Amino acid sequence: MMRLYKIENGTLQILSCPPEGLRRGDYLLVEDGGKALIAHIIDVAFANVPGIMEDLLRDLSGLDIDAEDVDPLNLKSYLNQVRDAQLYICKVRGTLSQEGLSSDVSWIPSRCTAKIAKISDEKILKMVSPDDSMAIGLGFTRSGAEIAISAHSIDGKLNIITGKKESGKSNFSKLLMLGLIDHGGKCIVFDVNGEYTKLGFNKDGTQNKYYEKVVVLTPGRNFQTAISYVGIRVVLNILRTVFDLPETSAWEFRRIWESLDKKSVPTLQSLKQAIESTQNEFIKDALIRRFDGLINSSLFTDDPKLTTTLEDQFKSIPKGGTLVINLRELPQVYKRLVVEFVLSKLTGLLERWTLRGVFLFAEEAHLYLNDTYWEDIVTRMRHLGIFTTFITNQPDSIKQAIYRQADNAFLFNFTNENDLETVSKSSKIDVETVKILARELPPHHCLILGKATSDYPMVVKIKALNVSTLGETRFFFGNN
Amino acid sequence: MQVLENTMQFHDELMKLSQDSLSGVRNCRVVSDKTDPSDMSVSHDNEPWMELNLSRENAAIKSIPIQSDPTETTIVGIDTTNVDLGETNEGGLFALRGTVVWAQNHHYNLTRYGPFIVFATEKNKQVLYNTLAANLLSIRQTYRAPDRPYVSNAFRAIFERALQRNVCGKFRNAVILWDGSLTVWTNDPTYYATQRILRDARENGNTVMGLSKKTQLYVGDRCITDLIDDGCSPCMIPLSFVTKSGDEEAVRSFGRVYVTKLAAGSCTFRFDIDRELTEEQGLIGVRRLIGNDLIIENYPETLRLAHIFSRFTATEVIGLQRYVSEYYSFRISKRPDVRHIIFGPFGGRQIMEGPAYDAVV
Repeated sequence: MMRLYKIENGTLQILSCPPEGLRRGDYLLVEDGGKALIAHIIDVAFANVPGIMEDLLRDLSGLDIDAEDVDPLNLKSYLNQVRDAQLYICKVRGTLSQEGLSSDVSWIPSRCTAKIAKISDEKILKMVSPDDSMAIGLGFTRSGAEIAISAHSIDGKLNIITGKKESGKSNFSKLLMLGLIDHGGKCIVFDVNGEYTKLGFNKDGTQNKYYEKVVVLTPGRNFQTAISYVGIRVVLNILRTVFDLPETSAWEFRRIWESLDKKSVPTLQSLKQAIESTQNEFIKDALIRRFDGLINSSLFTDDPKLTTTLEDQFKSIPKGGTLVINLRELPQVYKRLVVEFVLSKLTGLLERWTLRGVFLFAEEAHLYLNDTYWEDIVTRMRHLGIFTTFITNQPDSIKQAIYRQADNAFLFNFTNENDLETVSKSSKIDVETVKILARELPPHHCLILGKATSDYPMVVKIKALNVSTLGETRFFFGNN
Repeated sequence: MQVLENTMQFHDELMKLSQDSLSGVRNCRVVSDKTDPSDMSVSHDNEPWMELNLSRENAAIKSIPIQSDPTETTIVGIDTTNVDLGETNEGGLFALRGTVVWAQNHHYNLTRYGPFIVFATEKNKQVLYNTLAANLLSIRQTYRAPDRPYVSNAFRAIFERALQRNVCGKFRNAVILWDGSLTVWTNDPTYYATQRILRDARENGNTVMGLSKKTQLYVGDRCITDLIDDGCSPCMIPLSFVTKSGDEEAVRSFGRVYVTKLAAGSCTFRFDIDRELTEEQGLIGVRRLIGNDLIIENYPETLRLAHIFSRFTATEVIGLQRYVSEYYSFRISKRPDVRHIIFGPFGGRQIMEGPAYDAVV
């Protein structure tokens, strides 16, 4: 039996005696006068029953005593029910009325007449994620109800996947990516650890249905491009932001490029020769050092047989797929170079409508993403059609603005207070919910916040993937 | 291990009384006038009023020093409690519980009996009272049931005597501690039972002592517990030779009265030792008590535990109210506080946040 006890600062306190055995994350319907509040349990505590301290102290003092209770009415079970009475601390998420679901929570039900009952996971899921042909199955609720989100809730959105190490983030991001691919989505992933490169294979090593749709691009091996394809704007960007090219030298490089461009298509060789013939020794040295850096990255080549373009790669996945930019084993500076190149080219492709849109998965983006790009990603690039999902186990490596702008947050377990503090800055949810629910998530359980579940936080056990993930930790002594 | 041999029969009697009394009334509205359930549990060691015939001439009372005697002896403490759960238009709902604690080889054992819930109305209280007295104490004589406010106390007194009777019949060569004095009103239904219980105890070699936390014995304007200080502890002052009852025909003391200080501390208690034992037997009992029980603040641990485990906590009161509300469809609600209505914050009671049992039931 449950009764509404208190409402304070938008938090409901519901008393339950005997305890209903509800858990954090469950939903309750507080029904009164033809409509009902949808209350989300964020914490479960013992009710502050009068005399409980005296009771427990007495029990403690009896521990050393051979005690026997002759209780013919079996009242002890009743007394224990009172001792175990629970208080469910809930956040109000919305109102359910005849008109349907609304976010109006300005009314309060009666303490005396309100009827309180648990909403089954199936029912709440039906309310928050109506049937959708674009569903992406993610896993199951604790009661076993299957949970799926709509691909529309990821489309055009900014997402964050975060949690501590080995909590299941990578598995989830792959699940999400494959779900988007199933619906024809085109993705691109900056793969820092090379763990997406085997997505086209099952765990047993056989090819799976995504085999043709997963294109692994390893810079310097099967991913090389002509410098002319990159273009002066992108090359200058790379020289400035990745190699810290001073402005005067940048101007000289632009002059060299433009003079070469008038005669023929600039190549690495022609550019190198032009730079070496520069009169100003300081500028020449500065340019040669940086240009050698470009050449050593092996991303660029003058051999037309080896060159490829992003357009070609996207054409190879006409019905959806993913380009895996394998950044594994690349030095830090080249990682940044490759990312700068890909993002710049993507922006160009989208501006020209060569691409309709792309889902970008950025793992540990702070390792390769230039400071100037963070804001660009959440503003300009999003409008152009780059829909980013950040994946990190260091939540403070993501700028606060990203949390504020994020449409969806997929949170895995955190125990560190600082991490929880950072994550709780997400505008999609109140601080308490994040701090309490994210702290107690078991491995492979995710708290979904945001549009994916119509702003109704859901705890999901993420289903396992039957793909070769290569994201598992390598052990010296073997995995015990 | 249960102390009482006829425990099941004992339970059955109380159970039957409880069930009979409760089953008669269903769907009643029960009003509780207590705002704090923790105030509701009552343990009694009240005694009939007595005065001391202590003049200035015989004021030179000598204290007797006591030495601990570690001879292995079982120390038994008995206490009971009653709590009012609420009342209806027809009667009162209350619960009883009793605890027997015994220390053997410095190890404590405990058996707790209850709670037993009783619903006593004007109609059934006489039958209940007589049945209880007859079944638990073999009292065949009919006594007038007390008025409604005193019913629960009277029932508890019979229940307590029943426990004492069983304990005194069961243990051998033990020191048995009762909570309260050994003074009884002669018209009390337990009067003859007390006599019998003490006789049985003596036959079993037991020493019965009554220990009163509060006493109404005064010397002039001084309470007898003020007659003794830490300096001589452990010691006791015999007072029996100077005691007489206010109404000798109405009150009978079965004990020899002492003021005792068993250990240094702030508290002093009145001790009644079975009058039919010799003074020496009584003193041996006290020495063995000190030698076999833990004495804290001058109070024996067995009796302290018996009290603690008998007492109803606020949580238990709420649980009991839930039980009657669920099984007998009683609705518990709070009686309006008349003082609070009339005097508001000047009503002389602490204003409390609403009692939690309002929300539970």
